[in-house]
Amino acid sequence: MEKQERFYNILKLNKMFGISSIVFLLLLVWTFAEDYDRDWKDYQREFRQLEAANTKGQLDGELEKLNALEEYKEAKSTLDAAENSLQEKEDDLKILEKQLGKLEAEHYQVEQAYNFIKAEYDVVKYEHEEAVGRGHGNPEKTGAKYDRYEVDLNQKRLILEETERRLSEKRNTIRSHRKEVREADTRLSQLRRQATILDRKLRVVDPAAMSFANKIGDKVRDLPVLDFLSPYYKVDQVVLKDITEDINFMEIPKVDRCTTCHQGITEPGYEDAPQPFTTHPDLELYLNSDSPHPLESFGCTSCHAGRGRGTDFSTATHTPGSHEQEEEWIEKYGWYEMHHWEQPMFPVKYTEAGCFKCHSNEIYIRGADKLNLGTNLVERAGCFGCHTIERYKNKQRIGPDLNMISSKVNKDWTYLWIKDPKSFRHNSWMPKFFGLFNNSDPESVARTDQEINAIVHYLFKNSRDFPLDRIPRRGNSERGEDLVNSLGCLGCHRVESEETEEATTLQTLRLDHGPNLIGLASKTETEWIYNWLREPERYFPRTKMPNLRLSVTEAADITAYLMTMGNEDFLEQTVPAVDEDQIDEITMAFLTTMFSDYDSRQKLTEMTLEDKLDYTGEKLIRSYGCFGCHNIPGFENDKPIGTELTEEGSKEVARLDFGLLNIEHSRKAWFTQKLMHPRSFDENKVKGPYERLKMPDFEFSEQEVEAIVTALLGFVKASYGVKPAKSINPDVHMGQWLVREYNCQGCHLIEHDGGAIRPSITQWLMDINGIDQEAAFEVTEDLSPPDLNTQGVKTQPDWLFNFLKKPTTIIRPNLRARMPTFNFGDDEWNSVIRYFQYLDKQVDAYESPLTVNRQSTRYKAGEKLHEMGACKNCHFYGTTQPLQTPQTWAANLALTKERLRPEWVMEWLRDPQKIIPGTKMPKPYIPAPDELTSSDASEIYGKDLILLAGNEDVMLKGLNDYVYAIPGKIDISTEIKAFFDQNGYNFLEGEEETDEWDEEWEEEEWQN
Amino acid sequence: MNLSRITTALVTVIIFSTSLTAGGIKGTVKYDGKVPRMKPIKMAADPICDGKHTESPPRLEWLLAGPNGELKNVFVYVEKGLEGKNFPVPEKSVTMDQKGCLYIPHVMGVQVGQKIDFLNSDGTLHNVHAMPKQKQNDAFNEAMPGARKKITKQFGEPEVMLKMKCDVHPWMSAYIGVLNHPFYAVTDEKGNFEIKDLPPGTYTIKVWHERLPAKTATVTVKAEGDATADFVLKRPPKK
Repeated sequence: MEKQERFYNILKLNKMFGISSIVFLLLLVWTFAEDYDRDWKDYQREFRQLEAANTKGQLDGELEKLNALEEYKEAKSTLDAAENSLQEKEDDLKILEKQLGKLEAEHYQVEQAYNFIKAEYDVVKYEHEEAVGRGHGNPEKTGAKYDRYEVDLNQKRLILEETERRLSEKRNTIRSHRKEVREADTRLSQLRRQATILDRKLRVVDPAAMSFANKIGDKVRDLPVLDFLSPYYKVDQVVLKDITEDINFMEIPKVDRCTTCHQGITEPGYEDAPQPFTTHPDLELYLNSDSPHPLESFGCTSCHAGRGRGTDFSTATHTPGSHEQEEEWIEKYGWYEMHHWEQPMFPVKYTEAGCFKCHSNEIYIRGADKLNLGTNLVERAGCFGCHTIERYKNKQRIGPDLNMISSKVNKDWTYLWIKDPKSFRHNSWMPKFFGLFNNSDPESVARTDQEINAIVHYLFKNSRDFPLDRIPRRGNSERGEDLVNSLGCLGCHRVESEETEEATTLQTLRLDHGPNLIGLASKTETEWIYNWLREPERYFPRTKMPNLRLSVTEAADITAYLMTMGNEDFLEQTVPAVDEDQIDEITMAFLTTMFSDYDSRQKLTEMTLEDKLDYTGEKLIRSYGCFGCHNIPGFENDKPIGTELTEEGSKEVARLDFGLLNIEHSRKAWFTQKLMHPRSFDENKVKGPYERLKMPDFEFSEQEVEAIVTALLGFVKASYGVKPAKSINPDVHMGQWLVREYNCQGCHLIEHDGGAIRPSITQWLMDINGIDQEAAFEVTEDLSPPDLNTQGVKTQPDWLFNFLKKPTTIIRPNLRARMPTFNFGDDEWNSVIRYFQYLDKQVDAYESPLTVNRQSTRYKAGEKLHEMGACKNCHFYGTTQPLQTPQTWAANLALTKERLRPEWVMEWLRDPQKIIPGTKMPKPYIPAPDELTSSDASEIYGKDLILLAGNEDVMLKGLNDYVYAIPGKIDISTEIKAFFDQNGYNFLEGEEETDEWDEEWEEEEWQN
Repeated sequence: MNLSRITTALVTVIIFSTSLTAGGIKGTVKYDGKVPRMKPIKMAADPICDGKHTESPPRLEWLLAGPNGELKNVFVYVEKGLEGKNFPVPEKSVTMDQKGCLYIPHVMGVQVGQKIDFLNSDGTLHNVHAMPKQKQNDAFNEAMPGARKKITKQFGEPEVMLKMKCDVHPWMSAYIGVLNHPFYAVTDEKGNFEIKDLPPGTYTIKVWHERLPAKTATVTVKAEGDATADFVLKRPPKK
């Protein structure tokens, strides 16, 4: 062979080709294998087994249930019997059917014969008629022929009828034989329906239940390459056209593939299955197609966040809730963090953050307890004072007004308070600014001590005078304590000298609405408290403290009580004197931010100490942002000093300053760190005193931080095609805000929540009556501020408006708690009423009054019912007192016509427990129809009731009419007040008071 | 519905066929301590009530004990040992009368689903107010004027004890033990109780009294003859 001249060796090249094509082939196979073998398939395989087992279990259960079902057994035995008898009758049936066939043939012949004859007959008839009528033939002949034919036809008809009768008889016999079987069969399959469905499902899911051919098919459909057609194992996804995602500045529809692995998420029955197969914990609220959040419209990541397109554990951006969980996941799933995905899934403990983006305009988000706690904490702590948050725009500053501070407290107290508020009141909401991580070194302490002096100087120098009325009489502290415990103060205030370990809830926050009333003797003067109690709005026009309309004596008594509690330890701390050198340094620090060093020094030498204190005081208040929570003269129009938080949950992690701290780089970790240790990001940083972090320490508990972080994570950008879940009328919204801001739920139950005051009422009832807790608890509902359930449809809007503006009418006579006067405008009260009406779907503001016809049967029947119901035992009729003791006293019925809506009274009378669970008002007696027809009925019920023949509605209307016609004085507050002034509120009789039980109690020591 | 009825019936048959020779528990409950005198009730607020007690004034009933401490109105019941067993609901209703403006009896037991007839023998208005702590039990409160002779109710969940009261006559109270089995008793004037027809086995018996701390005992019931369980109740420890 001639050797070719080439620059390469062909043999070598062939080898190279050979090797590389093998490598490529292997690579190809590898690629296929990789692509084919996905984690989610394993999950689906596992789930399939689970599903098969579950379906089998369900099927077995269903069959068991069926077999135990009487009806099923009956149907089955009927079917068996019918089938048996059918079997037995098989021969009969055969004969019958044969007979039927024969008969049918016979019938056909007969019918044929009849029809022929009938045709001929008609001809003959015509001929005869022609012959008679027109003379076209011989009528006699035709007449005879006609008669013959008529006889013949009648004979044939009889035969035909007979065969028809026999035929249908035979058919019926056969039909009834079969009908039995068919009916039993239908009934059985109806009963079996569920089992049949399960059985069919099992045949799809469980290979063991499949036919051989199907088994093969089941394998083949999932083979590589072929699986593009209709595989069993496939990626499950929902595409959400209306909800988009911002991916690299493009808005593209959300696609959630979570159900690819979370296969049991929508199916009840996997509640105890392992993850990822577990059923969603609340299918009524989520995922179900008839729930408010169906899977088809919301997917998963709309709420949970995360990367919906991911089909393995890490790329779906599952996010661990703790370090331990992270380690566990790394080991179990090889978890890694997807850094570039800005909205990773919320760890389970922050899941509720996801509710906020659609529900941000709702004040209370039903079902999102942690999120609600978070937003409430943000409000209570007044975060929006320094950080603008859209939701809280225009909200009032959270702290007290300092415009007239010098009338309330002195400089020393103010100094010590600013330095460490909790050393005066252990549960104060005023945060700590000093003695923290970045200002505890001796140098900082020396400086901040003087900073506080400058702030105090400014506040007192700019304070206006507040003229204090003299207390006309000495108060009685015991009576004062009783008033505090019963008037309603404890719906917003605590009196707790020791810290409690309770977890924070919306209810505990309600009791934190106002300050804990301890230590006041060391804080302020008797006169100030007295004046404040009498007219809080005089000292602070927009205070949240309402006016309780206290009499001179009451205010003096409460003052005396509050002044029994002081805090000596607090006042014993030393207040450092003003140190001019330090003040100079602080002054210089602020001057040099605006002027050159030379100019600054020049200015400093021109300033007196007073000037320097004025100057630094103002600068420091501005720097620390004190005006965010307090009204301070000179800072009325300052802007908040902190970062805006409206969209904090969407802030890029890169824009959060982690400083040199070695913590997880995520929003949740940064928020948590910031709330737990606000100044810790200064660690190892070199900063001048006024460059350091300034956020104060609220000393939140871990539980509180978790709730606030949940809220912060929820504060996301309102884009991504997300619409608010509910559109709320602005009036209603304002009303709801007022209810929240003025803590109406401290006393009242609204939307079945609130009534925080109740435990203290129970305690008070125990104390004044000497009864045990159980007995006091039983009457707490009746002797507490009312449940406002159905308030929107309960009262006439006019009446409610007037009452709210001036709540002096006593409605519940034996209630000691007093509805205070809130300094609201007409618009505010209107919106509160609108909110109540919204809750109860009441639209009309104006309605016709009820007119009562006293001559009507129903009125008279109502009168009788009223008499039988002995309403007089408990209710006032104008000034006429109830027959019974104050324990059972109830509202003045003469007030009803002005106060209540008749429609509501009807519903109330129908079932009081439904409106106010636990009320002592019994369901009135409405006789049943059969009772009204008994022999002595007319004697017992009277003729009018009998005429109504047991019509419940009309009887209730009659009772309603009667109540609306009750005359008498409408406002009996003076009379009621006079009664209790004389007799006291300890009307519950303690059973043990006069028994010997108590004496003996002391005599002996009891053991278990 | 049908299903549960059948299974109930079935289970009952099984239980009763295996325990045709059932025993019982008998015993006495005594009170250790000086018996306080019950305070007289002032019924003047309702003259009809007042008129029912012309001879001697009615007294409260929260601790009734005989000369040797024999304690009345103690509810004795099987607390544990019957788990997973079902018992038919008796057809016969139990009765609680309102007579002389007191509940008679003051303490009684009933089975879940069993009918209770509240009677009014007084001819004055009472209101029958159930105060269950179990949410599933109906917290009804119905007026019962003199003309209304009977209200029939039932409770759906076990609850020991469920308090009844009359808001019109605040001194009136009664306690109903609602159980899902028939093995309970209330002590009589002599402090005696008897729980009959218990299948052999070991049970925890609990005694409940309105004011005294409860006690329990473990009792083994044999196929024949009655087991005995006596209890002594004392006052609660000093607060």
